[in-house]
Amino acid sequence: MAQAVQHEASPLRRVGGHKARLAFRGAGPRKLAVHPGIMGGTYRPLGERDMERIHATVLDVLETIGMAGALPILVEAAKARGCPLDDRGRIHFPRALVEDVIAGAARNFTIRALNPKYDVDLSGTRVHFTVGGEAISVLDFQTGRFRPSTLLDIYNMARLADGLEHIHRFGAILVPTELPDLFEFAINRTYAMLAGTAKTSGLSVLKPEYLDAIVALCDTILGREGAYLRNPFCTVGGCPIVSPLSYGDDNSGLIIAAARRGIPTTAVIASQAGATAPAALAGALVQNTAETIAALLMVNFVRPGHPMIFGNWPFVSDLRTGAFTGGGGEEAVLTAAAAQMAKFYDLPCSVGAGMTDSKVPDAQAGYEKGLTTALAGLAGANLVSESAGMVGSLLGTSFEAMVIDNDMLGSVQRAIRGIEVTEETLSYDVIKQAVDGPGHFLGSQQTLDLMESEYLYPTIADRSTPSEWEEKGALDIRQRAHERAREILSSHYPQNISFEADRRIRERFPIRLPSAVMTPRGGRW
Amino acid sequence: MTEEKQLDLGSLADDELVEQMQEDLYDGLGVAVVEGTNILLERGWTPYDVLTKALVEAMRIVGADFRDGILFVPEVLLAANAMKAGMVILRPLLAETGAPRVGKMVVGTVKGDIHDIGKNLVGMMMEGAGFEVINLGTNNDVDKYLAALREHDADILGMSALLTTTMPYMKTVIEALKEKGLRDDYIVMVGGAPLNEAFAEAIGADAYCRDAALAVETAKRLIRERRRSNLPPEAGASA
Repeated sequence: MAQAVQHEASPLRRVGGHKARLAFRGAGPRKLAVHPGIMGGTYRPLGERDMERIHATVLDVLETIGMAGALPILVEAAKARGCPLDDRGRIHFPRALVEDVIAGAARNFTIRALNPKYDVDLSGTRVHFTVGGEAISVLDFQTGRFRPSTLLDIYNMARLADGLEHIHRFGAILVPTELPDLFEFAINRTYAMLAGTAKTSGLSVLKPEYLDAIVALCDTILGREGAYLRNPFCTVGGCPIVSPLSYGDDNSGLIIAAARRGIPTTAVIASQAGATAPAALAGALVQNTAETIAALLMVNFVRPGHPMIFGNWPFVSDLRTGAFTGGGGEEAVLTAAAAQMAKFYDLPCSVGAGMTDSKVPDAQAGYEKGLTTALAGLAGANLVSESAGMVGSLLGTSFEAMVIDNDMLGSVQRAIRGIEVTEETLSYDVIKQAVDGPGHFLGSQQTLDLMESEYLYPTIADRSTPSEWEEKGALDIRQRAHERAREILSSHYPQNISFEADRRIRERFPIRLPSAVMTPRGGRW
Repeated sequence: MTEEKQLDLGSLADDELVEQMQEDLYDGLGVAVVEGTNILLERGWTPYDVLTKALVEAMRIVGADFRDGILFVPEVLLAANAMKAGMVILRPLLAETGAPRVGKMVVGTVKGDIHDIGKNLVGMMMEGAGFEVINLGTNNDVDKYLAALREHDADILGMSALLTTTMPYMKTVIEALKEKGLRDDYIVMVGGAPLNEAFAEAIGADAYCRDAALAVETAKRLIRERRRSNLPPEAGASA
């Protein structure tokens, strides 16, 4: 009795009976135990002295070895700032200049989303998980075997990510292999992504000359010319560096063009330890960080203080084959250290993690993704990219993997959140009450108050007993994820683009995604 | 009571009141359940009708929602406490009026085993469903079980074990019941993480119950079956 009265005085008291509770729980995960932008940064594989030495070597590399392949516009800008150009065409960046540019670079900014509730705050060590990958194949939803990825796949992946709460941003997860014309490829992929999700998107648009069309498409979605640049709800990214230590033509041109227009950019630099970067992990970190700073210099020379996400993505080779490997412990610790270096400079960063080498969402995929995303998040990476839906060393994608990874990222975020130690959470009184009273905590007020805010409950991870599991058909996680993906894909059709805007976009651009596949009608799923 | 609670239960018609009481019990509002119970009794309801038509039905929904993952354990305990609050009023009246009792259970963890949180949950859920529960705690040998069954004139023996090394002791208890010719006097239910239906069958128990909600359902079913076979049909007269 006394206990019941005490409960009724609780601020969290529940009313409304079965129907109300069903609606409450049925409303989906409560998002109380975790939220986008949880502070990471507790895992620090590099000591202070390690970071100082890496930084000093980065400055040596940029000043003494320098960067090749700069476009003329960058060469002119660099010369104007006193950077020597040697007879091999390499630009040498004086260390004082590099430090000045880092100090003046944009930091602590927010990237916008079509729906403002999905805005992503990149300040400090706030952690978000995002999709990316540029895969060329997909594990077919019906056959479970690889086939070339298509425009429809990226639309469906966007819808799926839109419906999964622990994925905070979408990106170019795959390429529409059926579109050989690069302009059609770029405009259609952008359209399919923005139609599929209201979360903020990281675009990849291939060539600088396509940017005006992309901006026009975004303006049309917002319904007014110039609206996109006032509210840039997606970023444009690219890989402007060819390792070791050379700018690449197309992508550095793209990043420069985007920066000049005021489009927030992501520069992703992914050298590969043992192949295009030193085999020593510290050396790989030095080179990749120097290259990412080279991209930062380029952007800031063109448009000082322009928002650029510092994509410090050192990759790893399997030296038995020379191929990229994304799932090992080396990648995990190197990625965490890359995030740590970005935070050493206090720059908003992205890293790549969750890049399993397994071809299917199996146990290998689970441990590789779990390890790499957890360490990246714990290290405080602002955007952990490639963290959902990827398989096969970034060559493949899977709808089931996206659903499984969403669950995983929830758990990872819960771990990043850590343990709040307060007078109250230390729970002396609660322990005493339980010992003096019922001998357990299942009915205590604290348990009732915290059962959803302290604990996160997975959606498809199975916690039933072996016998219950057998009764329910003995399904493994891939089978359960398949059904969950089907539920979302058969019902979740975001309407981000108005009918009128869609008509205008289709009038102006060669859109290859038929309107008929963008509604739940037809029962395709 | 909090200021949110402005509803005057006394102003509700019987069917609305019953519905409200079921909602309140579900939400663990013991004071409201007690108030509703008293109002129904004042209006001339039999204690048995209050129990079966208002309270037990609410706990049935609680059990189903627990099974379906809609309610969490702390919420179920809250509801069970509200039920118990109502039972404090109803139990003596039920005894006076000679209404059929829901049932009485002796429950305990077997000898050598000190794990009892699951068994306690079963006890609380059974109480919530209107059963009387005698909780023997942990580390019970044959003599303790038999003495409690006799002393309390129980209908059900519930045994639990968490360890594979202690679960065979359940068979020892059941064999002792058989030796003394008492086996058919009691319903024997067993539970615990390492158990399963095959084990329960092998040791001669009446049922294995996977969780507390299932234990309540099973107990109600077995009691019903037992009454149907043992008693003349008068038991249903007051329903």
